[in-house]
Amino acid sequence: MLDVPSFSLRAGVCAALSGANGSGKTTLGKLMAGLLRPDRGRVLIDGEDTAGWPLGRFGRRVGYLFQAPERQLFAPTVAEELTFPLTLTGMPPQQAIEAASAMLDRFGLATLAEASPFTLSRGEKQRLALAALLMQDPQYLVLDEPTTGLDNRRKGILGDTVRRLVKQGAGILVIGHDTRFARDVASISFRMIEGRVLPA
Amino acid sequence: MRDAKPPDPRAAFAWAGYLSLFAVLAQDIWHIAAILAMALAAVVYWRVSLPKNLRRMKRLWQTALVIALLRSVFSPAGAIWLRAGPVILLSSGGLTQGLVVFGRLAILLLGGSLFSAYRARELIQGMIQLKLPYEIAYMVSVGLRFVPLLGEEMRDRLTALALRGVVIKELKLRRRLRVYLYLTAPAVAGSLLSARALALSMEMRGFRAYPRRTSYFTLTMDARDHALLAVSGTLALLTGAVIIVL
Repeated sequence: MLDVPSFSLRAGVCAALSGANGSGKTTLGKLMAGLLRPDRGRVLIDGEDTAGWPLGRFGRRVGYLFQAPERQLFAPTVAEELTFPLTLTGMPPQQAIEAASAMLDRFGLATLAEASPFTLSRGEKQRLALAALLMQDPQYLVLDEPTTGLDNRRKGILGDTVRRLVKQGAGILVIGHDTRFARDVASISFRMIEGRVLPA
Repeated sequence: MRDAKPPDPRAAFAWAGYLSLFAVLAQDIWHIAAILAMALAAVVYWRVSLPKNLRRMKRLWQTALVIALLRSVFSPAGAIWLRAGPVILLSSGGLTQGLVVFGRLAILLLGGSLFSAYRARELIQGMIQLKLPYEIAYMVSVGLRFVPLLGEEMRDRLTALALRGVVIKELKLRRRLRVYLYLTAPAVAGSLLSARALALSMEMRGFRAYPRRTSYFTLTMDARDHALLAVSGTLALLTGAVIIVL
């Protein structure tokens, strides 16, 4: 059970949330992204109460990167992973392909555009999952253990991406145990202890 | 904790086999109705909760209904009751065909629901005591678990899509169907990968040693179970005779 009287993530800020296993970090992140709904209390996005919002509406505002990125990949090719949701929401196919190409370039995945997401390495899957989330241009991002399985070079690239997104105005919550990465990217840190959020 | 001990699982196998076999063989609506009545009687006798079963297999029941409706529309015959221009929507023959299809699927679903009265271990033991090789018995039990696994994989993919800002309910029917078709292949692939991981994990824990282990748990049939087997056998002969003669 979470006991969080108030917790807010501001646009243009990266916050880090650490804590022991089972302390409630992921639960809090999932509440913020609409994957879980509170039994009591409210989740507000820019002052708007999200009770009754379908998950897709959350998805347009908050991106959630799972600990296991393969859980959020479903398309037959890397390129389609980025274009399929866009075409469903009415974007013309050519425009979606151009947007996807630019994103794949940005994440160093352009050479893998025709590969199956299932054949990618863990790090590549993680970058693809993040790229896919960014296609919706969400205002907020919740990254759950984003550095698991990444080597130092990839961690550095992820850190640069996070900093760039924050500069562009995104609010990002990084959940995890990687204190070094958190120090690098976050301007504010919290600890979660038995369901309560405390300043680190 | 269960209120009362259900019959031996082997009796459930016999009844489910009898019901499924004749659900497929019977063509006449009255034969189907009689077998459906038998299936309902079995469900009541086995104390399977019908409302719980309907909730659990809601999607399958809905699918059965849709298939029956389609059959009804696409097999027009006899008196025409409702039409939209040249398209016959409801006819006496079509309705009969629809009811036959629905009855058949309902028998299969009710027959399958008898197994929900047992734990997986009891079903496996039942199959082993029917002299089915242990590997096959276990595979059947794992196969049964594969269905919810597939559902879970599909839900994961739909969640992933929603996290990309797609509100599935807002999509037009054509696009929604496209989504479901699109997500089926990765959901099946995901289930197969999970099944492979499960198989590997079982092998690593010495899976094949299991049938040679001694066990306190064996199934014994009492008079009620023998009676149920005898009734299912007699009914199978009678139903077979009725279907062949009439």
